[in-house]
Order: sequence, then structure tokens, then C-alpha cells
Amino acid sequence: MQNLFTLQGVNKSYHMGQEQLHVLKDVCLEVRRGEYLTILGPSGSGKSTLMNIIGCMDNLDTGSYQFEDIAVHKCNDNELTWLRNKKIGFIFQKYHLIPQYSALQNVIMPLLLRGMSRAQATREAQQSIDLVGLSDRMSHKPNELSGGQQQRVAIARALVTQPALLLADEPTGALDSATGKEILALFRRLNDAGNTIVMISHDANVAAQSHRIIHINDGWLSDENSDIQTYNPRHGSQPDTASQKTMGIC
Amino acid sequence: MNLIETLRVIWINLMQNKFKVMLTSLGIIVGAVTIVMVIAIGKGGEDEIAGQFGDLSAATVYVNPDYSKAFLGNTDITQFPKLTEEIEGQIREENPFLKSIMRVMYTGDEVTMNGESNFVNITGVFPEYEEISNLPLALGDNITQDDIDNKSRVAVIGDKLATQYFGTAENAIGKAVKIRNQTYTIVGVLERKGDAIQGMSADDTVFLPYSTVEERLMSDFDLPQMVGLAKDIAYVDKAVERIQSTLNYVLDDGSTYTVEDAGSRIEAATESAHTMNMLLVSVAVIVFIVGGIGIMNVLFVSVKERTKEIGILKALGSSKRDIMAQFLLESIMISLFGGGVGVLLSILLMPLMQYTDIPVSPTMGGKLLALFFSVFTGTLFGFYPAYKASRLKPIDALSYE
Ligand SMILES: Nc1ncnc2c1ncn2[C@@H]1O[C@H](COP(=O)(O)OP(=O)(O)OP(=O)(O)O)[C@@H](O)[C@H]1O
Ligand SMILES: [Mg+2]
Repeated sequence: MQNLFTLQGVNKSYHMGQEQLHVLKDVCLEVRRGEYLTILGPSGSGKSTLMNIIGCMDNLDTGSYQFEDIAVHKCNDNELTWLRNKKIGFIFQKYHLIPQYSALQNVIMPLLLRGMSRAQATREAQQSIDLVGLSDRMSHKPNELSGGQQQRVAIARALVTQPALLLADEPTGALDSATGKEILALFRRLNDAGNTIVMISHDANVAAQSHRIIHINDGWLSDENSDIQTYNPRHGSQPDTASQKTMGIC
Repeated sequence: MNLIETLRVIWINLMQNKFKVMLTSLGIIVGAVTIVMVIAIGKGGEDEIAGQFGDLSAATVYVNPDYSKAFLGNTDITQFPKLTEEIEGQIREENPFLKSIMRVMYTGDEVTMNGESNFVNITGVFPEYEEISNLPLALGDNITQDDIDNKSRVAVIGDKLATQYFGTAENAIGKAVKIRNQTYTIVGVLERKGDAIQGMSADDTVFLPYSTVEERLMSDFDLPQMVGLAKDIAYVDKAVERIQSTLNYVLDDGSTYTVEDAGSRIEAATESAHTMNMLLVSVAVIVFIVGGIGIMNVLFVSVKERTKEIGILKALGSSKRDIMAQFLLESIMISLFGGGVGVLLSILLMPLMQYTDIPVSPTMGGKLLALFFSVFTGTLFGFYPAYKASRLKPIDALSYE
């Protein structure tokens, strides 16, 4: 099966004054179409940083990022904008709905940004809102919706463009466990329907829903399912190169 | 995003923040009212000047006594040289640039018409006055050369006097005018002018034959003046020069009379009105700049407040252009709203100006200019905040708290 995207030797550092914080270290990752992947790691391990790079929101320092047939690391601002609009559907921990817009207006925004007519955009948005089960809340503003409902609206907004990749950063992080389960069930259904999903989480239970789990620890990626390596700081943060090769992430 | 959808989104945003929109546009409202008022006042001044000179031809020339010479020092006003028939003849003879010239006597007296007495302007004229002063008759006959020769007791009166004392112009014809116990017959009524010539309006003036005035009403203290018409605008300067040189040798001191043309008088008055206008307009521009800075401040705050929204929009695929368009158009909408409210307000305020001495003529141009300036200010001062917003890095904007 063909890869949807491939990261190779990706490094990312933040500069704060004199100090340099090396957040992503030589990250390699291949994701195939139709996969449901969770990137699991503790707080501060670089999950969001990685997701921002995959989502074309931030640029990498070194390495390469190939999305379908596009070399993202060489893209200019307009091309990145195009990728975000056409290829990627974002779902955020804090929903990130625009507060003054109704649910419907929030969902049709990505389509309007493409220049689609309002009539057609509304039709497609209604389907997408149907899919997340919120047809009766279309004209509600975000502050008139519960957290779970807001996240559904956000999922509908991500789905509406039929993106090649659904990218979710701790989508259940702000929800109670029951609501979180409903959302996760929704993700399963979406994946069954053929959507490629990359989810980020620090919760092993959430990650267990997905097909594949990749661990991230202090900026290093591994697919070894080891609690010791992931969570025990005394073990040292750098896995030995031999074990990384056998992991076969790249 | 297409324009209609961008505008719809802006509309949603503005409706969400009506109070802020009001406050932001306050500076623009004041600016727009100011500019409409200022232009109305400027136009009012110009109209007043135009009114004073009526539709006098710029080729009109005047010979007026230099009153500063007449009243200053120990000069006895009765000794002041008077413009006589001889001098008039001399000027006419020596001046090929003049179409016509005549003496005219501005005076006034207690006048009784239809049993009512009032002090009324009286002007002694020759038949040519109709042409020179552009005062066509509405009804009846003009003063003729015969009237001059016979010193007839006939009168032509202004439209306002006719309607005031006799109801209509028709009623006035043939009626009597009593001045110093002598009766004059009204033979003609002038067309309504509605404006003033040399400070007094022909509408409320009684015109009598010059010779009649000279004989019956003129005292030693009255000084005749002259008014004439150059053959062509191009000859005005030459005509003035030639009249002055004639006066210089027929009078002991030629400088006791000044010779002027209407064109340069109109010009001087218009120029001072223009200076006034420029002053007023600069006040309006300053108001707009202050209003614009107000808009800019609020937009900067608004861009800050909505940094997260900008981040979301960028994540959804808003281009720099989209963000720029949204914030710039929002600024333009706010200022257009301010301009519209300002123009409406100025229409409501304009009638109050009649309680002041300031003449105003509201114009469409003033209102359009106010709207234009509003939009211009909104664009100018909205640009930088909009540019800043469009330049935000998506990830920085999104993680902004
Ligand atoms: N804009 C930034 N400037 C400087 N340092 C940053 C920036 N963003 C993240 N970091 C640092 O990079 C590291 C990884 O951050 P990141 O947000 O990717 O963690 P995370 O795995 O998503 O954590 P969490 O689970 O708490 O969301 C952290 O140490 C963080 O302090
Ligand atoms: Mg994070």
C-alpha cells in the first residue's frame, strides 16, 4: 500500500534567547492510507510539535516531509495554506471553534475558504454534521453547546473537506471519560469508513483504540511498547540505535 | 474566500460587537459631520459672495469716491469734487474700451407707498442701468431718456417693494410713491433678483431718473458714483486705466476717486473665501486623522483579541490574502458606517445653523467627500493592523492565550 506521508530525519528546535531546546530528534515516520495511528507520549515529549509539522502549521529545521507527491519541507506559505485547506482536517484538544459563528458557519468555513458557493458548502456541511449526530444543533453557537458537542462540531469541520488525513491532538483531553468514549467510537467509525487518522495522546487507553501506536519520548520516536522506556526517566531518554533500527519505524 | 462570504463573516463579527463598532466609529462620525459642515459653510460663503455680486458681468467697472479721503482730515465733504455730466462725457469720449458708462446716485429717504411709510433705498439712474446692472424689467416701462430730459416724476421699483406694499407687481403699476411730499408714479417693476449689488438689493430699491434725484433729493453731502461696462472682459484693465487717467486731469486730485472692476472685486472676495475654506478643511482633516488613529487602536486590540481566531482560520486554510481582506474590509465597514451616520447626523444638524450668523449651503459633494474620506481613513488606518494579522504565523496565533 502506498504511503500517505513520510517523515525522514526530522529535527526541530526552539530557540529561546541563548538556549536551544531540541524537541524533535531525527524523527522518521511512515503512515499509510487508511491507517489509524496514535502517537503516545508523556507531556512535553514533543507530540504537539510533531503534529504541527505533520499539519503543515510549522516548519521543520532539517529532514524531509513527503505528503503524497508533495515535498512539504520545500513548500512556500501559499502551498502550505493550500495543503492545510485541501489535505488536512484538524481536531484540537480545545475544539478551537470560532465563538461568534454558529455550528453550521464553523463547519462551512473551510469550504468557503476554498471559494465554494454557500449553497453547496451548506449541503456538504449538513452531511458532515449529520455524521457526528448534531443535525438539531446547527444554529447553536459554541457557548450554547456542551464540550462533547463542541468537539463533534470540530470533527464535522475537519471532515467536511474530505481530507486525506484527519489529525487529532488529544481530542478527548478536555472531555469526561464517557463523552471521550463516544468520540473515540466516532473515530473508529470514521476510520472504518476509510479515513486516515493520526491521533495524539498521553493516555494508553485512548491509544489502545487505534491500529498502531508509536511512542514518543523526549523527542525520540519508537514503536516499542515499553512502559519503562517511555515513562521511566532514570532509564535515560535516548534509546540505543540498534533497538531503533529493529523497530522499523522508517 | 469570495467577497460576499467575506462580507457575511464581517457582518457576523460586527453584529457581535455593536457597542465596540459604535465606539470605534465615533471619531469617523465626528469627522464626517465636520467635513459636511465645513464644506457647507465654505459653500455658504461662496454663495454669499456670488449673491453680493449677482450676475454682474466681470466687465463692470465702478468709479467710487475714496471715502477715506473724503472723511479723513479736514476736507469738507461739500468741497469734495463731484462727478458731473461733463466729466461723464469726457470719460465716454476718451475711452474706446467702454461700451457704456453712467452716473448713479445711491441715496435713501422716507418713502410712502399705499399709505405706509418707511426708509427705503433710492437710486438715481440713467436708462442704461438696466443693461449695466443687469436688472431686467418684469412689468411696465423703464426709465427713458425723456424722463431724464424732463426730470419726470416716475419710478421703477424692486419686486420685493411691489409685493410688500401692493401685493403683486401688477397692482403696483400706476400707483403713487410719495417722497418728500412729492408724488411719483410707478411705471415699472423689476424682476426679482434675490441678491445684493454693492451691499443693497435691487429688490427693495426705488429707481428714479438721475436728473430728478439730482434736482429734488440730492444734498451737498451726496456724492454721485459711476458704473459702466467694458466692451469686453479683455478690455477691462485698459478701460479702468483710461478712466483713471481722465479723472487725473479733469480733477485737481484724481486719487479722490477709485476705479475698480467687478472681476477683481469678485476675485478678491472669492480668494478670501477660499482661504477660509482651506482652513476649515484642514480642521476636518485633523479630525479624520484623530478618528483614524482611534480606529487603528481599536483594530490592533481587536487583532490581539482575535489572534486565536486568526490561528484557527489559518489552520483551516485561510490565506494571508483572506485574513488581510477580512480585517481591512472590517475597518472599511466600520468607517463607512461612521461616515454614513455622520452624514445623516449632519443633515439633521444643518437646520440648526440658521440660528447662527454663519451662512451654509449644504451640498451633495460635501456628503460624498465625507463618505470618501471615511472610507479612505478606514483603509489607511486599517491597513497596518490587517497586515499584522495576516503575517501571524499560524502556530503562534493558534497557541496564543
Ligand atoms: N513555541 C515554543 N517555544 C519554545 N519551546 C516550546 C514551544 N512549544 C513547545 N515548546 C517546548 O517543546 C517541548 C515539547 O512541547 P510539545 O507541546 O510538543 O509537548 P507535548 O508532547 O504536546 O506535551 P502535552 O502533552 O503537554 O501537550 C516542551 O518542552 C515545550 O516546552
Ligand atoms: Mg500537546
